[in-house]
Amino acid sequence: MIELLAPVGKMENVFFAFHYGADAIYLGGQDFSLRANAQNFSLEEIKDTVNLAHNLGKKVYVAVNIVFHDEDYLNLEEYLQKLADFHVDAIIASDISVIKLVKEKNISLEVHLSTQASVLNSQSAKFWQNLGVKRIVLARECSRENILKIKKTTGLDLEAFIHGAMCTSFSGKCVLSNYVTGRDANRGGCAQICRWNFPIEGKTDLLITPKDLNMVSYLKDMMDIGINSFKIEGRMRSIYYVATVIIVYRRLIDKILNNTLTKKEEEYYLNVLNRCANRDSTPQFYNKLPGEKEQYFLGRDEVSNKDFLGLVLDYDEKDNLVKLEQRNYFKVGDEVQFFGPNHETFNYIVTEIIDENGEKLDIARHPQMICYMKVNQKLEKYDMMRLKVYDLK
Amino acid sequence: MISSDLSYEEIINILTNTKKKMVLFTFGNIPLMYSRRKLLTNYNKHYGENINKDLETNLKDKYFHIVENDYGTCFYTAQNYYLNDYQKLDNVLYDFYNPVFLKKDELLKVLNDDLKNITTFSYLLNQKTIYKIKGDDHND
Repeated sequence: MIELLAPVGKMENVFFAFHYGADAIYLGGQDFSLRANAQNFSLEEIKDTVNLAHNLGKKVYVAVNIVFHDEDYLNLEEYLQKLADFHVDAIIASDISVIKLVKEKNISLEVHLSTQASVLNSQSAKFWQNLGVKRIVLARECSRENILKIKKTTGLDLEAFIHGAMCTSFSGKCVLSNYVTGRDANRGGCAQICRWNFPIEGKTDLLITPKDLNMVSYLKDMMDIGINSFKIEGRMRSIYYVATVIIVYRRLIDKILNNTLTKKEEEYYLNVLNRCANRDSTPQFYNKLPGEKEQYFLGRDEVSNKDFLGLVLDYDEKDNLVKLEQRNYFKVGDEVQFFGPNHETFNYIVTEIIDENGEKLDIARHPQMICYMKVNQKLEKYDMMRLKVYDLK
Repeated sequence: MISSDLSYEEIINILTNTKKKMVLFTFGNIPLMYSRRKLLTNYNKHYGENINKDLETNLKDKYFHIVENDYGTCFYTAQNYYLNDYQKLDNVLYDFYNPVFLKKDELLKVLNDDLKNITTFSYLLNQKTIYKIKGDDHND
């Protein structure tokens, strides 16, 4: 059974990731993980998250994936032991010293090898397998042939990125940020220099930014060749992004497994994904080496959209009244969509907005204001409302 | 080989605390980034240009030398890293030189410790990298 693995950067996102269909989540503590500038999780929060996940029959993986300098080892053993005490399902590590420490001190933790180790071939995979690694997060540069060979040689669990931002460099092999800004890319401080313009005298600047990854059109094949976990990138993303991306991939996976996915649905879901990330995405490396079409050049136009309009806090079935927390400005007459994990997405035209005092409004303008609307179709707590841009029907 | 992404103090610490002799990156162009993508070819295709697959560029005071081949694209520092006083360090198996872009006569000078007219820089020898920046929020 394929695992859908979601990123969470803060406690709020944990619930939404599971609610919208993730089978497992990965997160970072306040130390030892990349994305050092995400909110991340205290030990107490990790413990609570694991308890929540296990009650739902789901899993939690904790990233311990920095490249360690000597000064970083302080408290590492104690931290790993606490993760083991909390019954974290696995840690994600790339530094061989972490894997060695877990083994030597008999810490009861499963180890997944981070994409930072850039495993692309079966011999490297075998090496790590012999060190006790139970799953490999494949390098994003892996081709279909690489994956087949690794699976055949090792039989290991394989995890592959299917969506999200790409690094230009092989993961773990880039110090552009270190050189240009002094911010350590391999300890979570990456300044994303690969998204800057490099001047070329007398010519257009050189851009080396890759488009985002999406593997929508290859999901079935990836399942068929032995990928065990589909990983989504984005520990620093919003609840709207996490919910949108997870629900789309959940629906795609379920429809593929039931053999009911249509071309029209695939196209619709791709549009929804690209719009919520506000960036173009495309398959990369799996079927061929990425060329110019898989990169951004000057002239890309990323305008932040304000599609996420509201979070459903309650629904009164007697009066068909939804209680909504506004997340972006919307007004009477707007055409919107409601989506959630337990019903199909549906369209709705905003005919009336009522504030907490019972007053009618033309516009819900204040951030996180509470308002009410009559919606004849049943909604559930934590459903979301967005601007209608694409329609499946 | 000890990483070149370390401060002098960190290098000393490793040399002091390991039993085996280590290889030291002493001089040369530091490889900063290695991409599987052919970034210069892609640029040429997109803009109908014909820039060389061996290119120098800079971002303010940071200089790069970019090289592309069949395996992908590599960014190097244009200047040569130099671990000064490396001769005084103990527990070194050998010094590693990586002068990717030096001419033969320049290289011979370097091997004879003559660094006149060779631009060098100390990279992170005198400063540690940072990675936690307060208030830096990339949430979408």
